[in-house]
Amino acid sequence: MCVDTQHVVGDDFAAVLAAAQGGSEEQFAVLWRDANPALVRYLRVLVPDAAEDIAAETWVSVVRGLAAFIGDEGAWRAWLFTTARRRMLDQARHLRRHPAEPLDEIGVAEVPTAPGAEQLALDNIATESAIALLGRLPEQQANVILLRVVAGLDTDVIAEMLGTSAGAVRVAAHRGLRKLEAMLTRPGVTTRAGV
Amino acid sequence: MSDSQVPPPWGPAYDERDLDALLSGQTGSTPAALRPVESTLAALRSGATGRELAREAAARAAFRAFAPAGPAVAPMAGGAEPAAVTAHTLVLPPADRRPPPAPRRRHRHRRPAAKGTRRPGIAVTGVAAAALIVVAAAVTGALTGSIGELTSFGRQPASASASARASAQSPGSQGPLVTGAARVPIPRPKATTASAPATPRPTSGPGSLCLEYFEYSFHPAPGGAAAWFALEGQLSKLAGGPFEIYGYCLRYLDDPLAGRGGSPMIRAGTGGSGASGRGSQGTGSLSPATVSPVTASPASRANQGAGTAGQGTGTAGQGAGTADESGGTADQVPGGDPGAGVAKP
Repeated sequence: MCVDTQHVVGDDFAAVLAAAQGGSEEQFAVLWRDANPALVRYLRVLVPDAAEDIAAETWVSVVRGLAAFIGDEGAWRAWLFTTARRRMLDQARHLRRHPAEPLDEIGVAEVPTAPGAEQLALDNIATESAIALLGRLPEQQANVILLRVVAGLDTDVIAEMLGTSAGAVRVAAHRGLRKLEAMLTRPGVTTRAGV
Repeated sequence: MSDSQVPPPWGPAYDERDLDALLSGQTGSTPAALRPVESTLAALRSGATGRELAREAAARAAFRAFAPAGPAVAPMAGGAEPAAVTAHTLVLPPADRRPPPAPRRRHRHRRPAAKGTRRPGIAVTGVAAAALIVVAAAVTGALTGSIGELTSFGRQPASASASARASAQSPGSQGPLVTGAARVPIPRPKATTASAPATPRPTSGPGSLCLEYFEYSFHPAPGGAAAWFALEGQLSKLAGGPFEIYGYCLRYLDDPLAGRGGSPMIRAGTGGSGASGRGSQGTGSLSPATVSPVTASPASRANQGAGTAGQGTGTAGQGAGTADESGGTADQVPGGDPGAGVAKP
């Protein structure tokens, strides 16, 4: 079920999950360190401005329902990203109801910077570029590609999450990849405005 | 046709299988056209950055705040709940899970009044009623003396009519003796002469003062205004103010305003100290028959006896003694306050 093996706990998942459900903070941290990078990347593509906050809200929801969760690692990831998607929709709904007015422009000297932020950005420039590139895809295509690649979910699970068919998920993923290829090899190709 | 004019190859150089392989992370046979895409997807799958792991402390805090404390059910096991779970889990009753009841709305008009708060109101009402009676009596000319003259507005002085009722009572004309009744109606004071002193008559206790005070209030007699004011002054000192007189007298009398047409009654088991032999003053201003309520416990009766012996001057002491004797069989109330009996000559 999980095609991406880079971010999974593996065979120890059941034991780690049981310990986390039993109250082990360390084992919960294992789960968090395994899934949070993918979660943040997924959210940074779809909601760049509120990715960190939505990720935090997602984990709060997950922690609250952790004791009742039953399933394997694939189900765990599906639950995590489904929760994140719901929080993301809540955020979008909230922003529609309560639009935020931008404050005055902040000068460059006033922008808070963490120490070593530049170096950190240089180290992860490839990831940042990829995220920026995925952000230029139509939302549905980017969503499907991210859930397939970053979250490691298969087509059927994504189809269930998005409320569509597996065929539609597959088509959307292929279209997104083609568009990505076009953007990479032929500069000037349309971005998210076109399909 | 040169090679430079060869048209580009028609369509993409990859198919859906290649795209599925990219999505699945299978590398090695990726077409050249998809290599950049493969690199992009590989960057998305790369290891976590420091930024993405920066909020681990916050996540741990959320876990500590919201995760169930102690060992919980292992969902994958599917077995029975471990004994340790039940041993360390505080099981609250279902009632505790209900939301707390909403606080009762406080309505000022429905709030029950405290017991003590009614007393001042009653006292003020009583004083106001007494003042009204006095004013009415003054206007109608019932008062005598200087006040009556002031308020008579040219009418005949009231002292002439007041003298008609002035007569000293003989010691034998005692009032009704206490024969066991808890409450004894007190007859009105009859004897007030025109030459009655302005100073209040000596009284034996606060109950008697209250009694006379309200008697004068309800049945003002000519020439008694000065005595009434003197009584009011005494009671004000005892009660702590003119507005406290009514509440103070409630301890000794039944509600004087309950039956304004009748006479107030002294409460059973309450009253002042023992008999003080008022009759020994010999002023003749007050008949011994006016008041003789004796409601006394044995101790108070002993007090009365002592008072009678101590005064030893008049028939009032005898009257008290008579009351003592007759009341001996009457008051068997164990709750009688020692020394609280009221005895008037």
